[in-house]
Amino acid sequence: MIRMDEIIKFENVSWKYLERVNKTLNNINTSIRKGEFVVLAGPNDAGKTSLLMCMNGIIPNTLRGVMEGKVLIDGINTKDADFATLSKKVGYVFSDPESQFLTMTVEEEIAYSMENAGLPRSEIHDRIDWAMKMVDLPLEFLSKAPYELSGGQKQRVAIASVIAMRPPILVLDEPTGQIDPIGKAEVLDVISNIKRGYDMTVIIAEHRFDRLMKLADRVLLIEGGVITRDLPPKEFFENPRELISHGIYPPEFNLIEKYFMDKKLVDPPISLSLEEFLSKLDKALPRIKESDLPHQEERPSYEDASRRIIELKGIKFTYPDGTQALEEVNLSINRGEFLAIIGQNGSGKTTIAKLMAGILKPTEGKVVIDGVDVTHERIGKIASNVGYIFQNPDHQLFEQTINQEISYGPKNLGIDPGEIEKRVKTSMEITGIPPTYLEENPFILSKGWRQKVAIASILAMGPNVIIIDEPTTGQDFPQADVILQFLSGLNKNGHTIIVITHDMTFVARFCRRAIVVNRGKIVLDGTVKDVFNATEELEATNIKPNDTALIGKKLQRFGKFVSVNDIVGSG
Amino acid sequence: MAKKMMRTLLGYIPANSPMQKLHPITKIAFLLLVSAYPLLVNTPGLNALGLVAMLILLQVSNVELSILKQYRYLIVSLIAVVIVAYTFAGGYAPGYTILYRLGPVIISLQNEIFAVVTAMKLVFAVFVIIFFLSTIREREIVQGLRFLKLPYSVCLVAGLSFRAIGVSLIDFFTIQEAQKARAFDLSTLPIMEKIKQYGMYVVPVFAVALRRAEDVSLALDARGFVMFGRKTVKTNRTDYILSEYKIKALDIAIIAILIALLVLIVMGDYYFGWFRITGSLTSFLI
Repeated sequence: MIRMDEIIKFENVSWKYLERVNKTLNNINTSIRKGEFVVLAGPNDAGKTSLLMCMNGIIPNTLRGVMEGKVLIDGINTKDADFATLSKKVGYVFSDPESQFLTMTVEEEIAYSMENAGLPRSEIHDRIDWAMKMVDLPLEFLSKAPYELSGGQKQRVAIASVIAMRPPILVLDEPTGQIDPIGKAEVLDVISNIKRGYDMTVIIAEHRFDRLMKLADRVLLIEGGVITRDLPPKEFFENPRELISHGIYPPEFNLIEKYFMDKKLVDPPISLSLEEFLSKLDKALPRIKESDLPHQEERPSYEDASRRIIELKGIKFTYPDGTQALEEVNLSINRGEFLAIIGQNGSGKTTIAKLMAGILKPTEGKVVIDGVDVTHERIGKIASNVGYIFQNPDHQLFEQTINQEISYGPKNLGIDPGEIEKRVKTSMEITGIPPTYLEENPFILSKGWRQKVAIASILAMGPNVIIIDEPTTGQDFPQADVILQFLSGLNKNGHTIIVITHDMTFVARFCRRAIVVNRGKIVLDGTVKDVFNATEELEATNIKPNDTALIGKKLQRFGKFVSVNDIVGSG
Repeated sequence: MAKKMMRTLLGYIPANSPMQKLHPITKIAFLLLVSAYPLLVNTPGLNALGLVAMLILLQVSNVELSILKQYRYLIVSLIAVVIVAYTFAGGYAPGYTILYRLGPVIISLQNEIFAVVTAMKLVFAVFVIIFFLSTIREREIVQGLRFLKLPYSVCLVAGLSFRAIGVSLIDFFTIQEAQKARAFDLSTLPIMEKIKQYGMYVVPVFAVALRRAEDVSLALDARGFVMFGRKTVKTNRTDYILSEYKIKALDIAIIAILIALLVLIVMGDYYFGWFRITGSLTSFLI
């Protein structure tokens, strides 16, 4: 057996940001050996990004704070090293692909670090070709602007630009956190290829582990700045339900397998991939009886089928750059529905939602809200009925205090001050914003709180319909769950909820209806169970349903299953 | 069928616009040379002609003229500020023709002429900038600067700044949409309220830009870029991508004409006083 040497070593490392009271990393002692693939798990704010930034010297050399202990990268103490040296050792991929692009074309982007390192032009040329091959992008893309690419392609360019330096270590900070499911799959395929073909040491922080379990040598759990577990994946995911209490959402197949394992229908050890589990399930199928699965309960519906709240009739929409975003969209939504609009990036789903909210006006066709044609109405008339929550809270906060922020919409609607005060109070209560925050500046709050202020600002306008764009992007499982439970509560109280999302697990858990948009057209519209079972149509639109829907296909003689709870029960 | 459009710093132009055929250095030369014209020309009539020329160029370049609507408040407020400043705070010199006395304030014909002259200069200059930003892409600016063999760090900072402008413009439009979602209808407001409202956009646009700037600075460090500082190593940076553009005869001809016009203005003004407000070849225009 080849002995793998230590390439990364943390010795008693603690880190405290200047502006924070507590340490973000607390006495970290660990080492990573050459060629290892390490997955870093943990809820948001646990210290994952800080731990990763210690590896390329951004901590302590750029970010302001106090560091104790030392980090050795291939024997070099990061505290004493310059970035030019460290960037040759550690390639770092950030979560948001756009924020790391520094140049104007894919070619310039990949060449950038190599230019900084002073490599000869011929070598830069060869390495660009190699990196493009490694991330499976055609050479024609070299002349494109990085920000014109899809989410998955952008992240692949980001990876190409760091691996072109041939660093022995590749660090990825939630590289799939901000991209659609197809993009996620593309990026994880690339990481897998790099691992196989180049034998880099890979450290990756992620919230979703489905495709990583098979690649990982070790999984580290970090909580409150401390590494609390360091186990091989088979042991780490042995008890998936218990992981949920640590803010980790294990792969769906892992939860389902454990359920069948407890019923002695499949044998241990746990599978490390969906494919592995499906083949085990194939063998177990003859033994599975209907009584092994929980009674199928339909998700409660609060829909009033007699009242149409939104109708889009013959809608076409063209953007100023000439892009025809929608072609002949017809859609009806009833009061009290909880529905998801799904589709790849650029499919037209956000355009549909903005048309419903009156933010965009159709090029052709009619928008009818609660029986009234509002196609040419001013936004004020629509906003009191349809609230739109943007993905980035920073785009929708304009005022100096939370009080002013939440009052902003009702003021524009001409509501009297006494009523506004009541609405501010109620919206803060619903969203869980403490009254002591009333005069705080929203910009100084954390992203989670800013998101809550943005939601409260829309709720204060009293809309019947709430449209929310990508509520779970960049959130860990506990945070996403809070938002989704909250939306579910609003639906229960009679609100119509429309969610634009890539998160199929969320759609399967909460939504009753799903609309699939592809190239400006609605291509599927039905219950989530029906839509997720229309495998061929989904494949044609490059949408992959969640793992449970694929597992459910094997169990279809017992019914239709799309969420984990459909199979394992809600206990 | 929809035309293929290309994003510029201020909007879009068709991919087949004649401006796409020009070398970035020609566009940069246009900005630098033509924006000097209104500085040197005082005759309002000539500056008005320059403004008309800009409109013709926008049309020829296939820029959607409706975009100019977006800048009407900027232009109106600019003219208003100039007129108010000259009218009420322009000062008085012996020989001025007094039009009206308002307590200690003297409103004179000369100050009103200066107001018109300055306003026309500024409006012409604004149109030159609108034309430039409406027809150039951020990467063309960087390519132009690199073509001039400016230090890499200067080109990088320029590129990042222009990219930040482009991204901030997208943020600005998203923030406008978010305000619409909060029942705020800009089109219903009187002009002064609209101008005030633009000030309100500054807070979120800057907040988002600052957060993004932090990300970019971390990305620069992570990619081994060192401009200065204690932890630096001497490495000769390779200039891998020099230029994908070639200077053509048309570019040389345009730059030569623009330089000739500038020389004509400087010489005409110096030797013959053609472009002064009074006693000039074009004084009849005022």
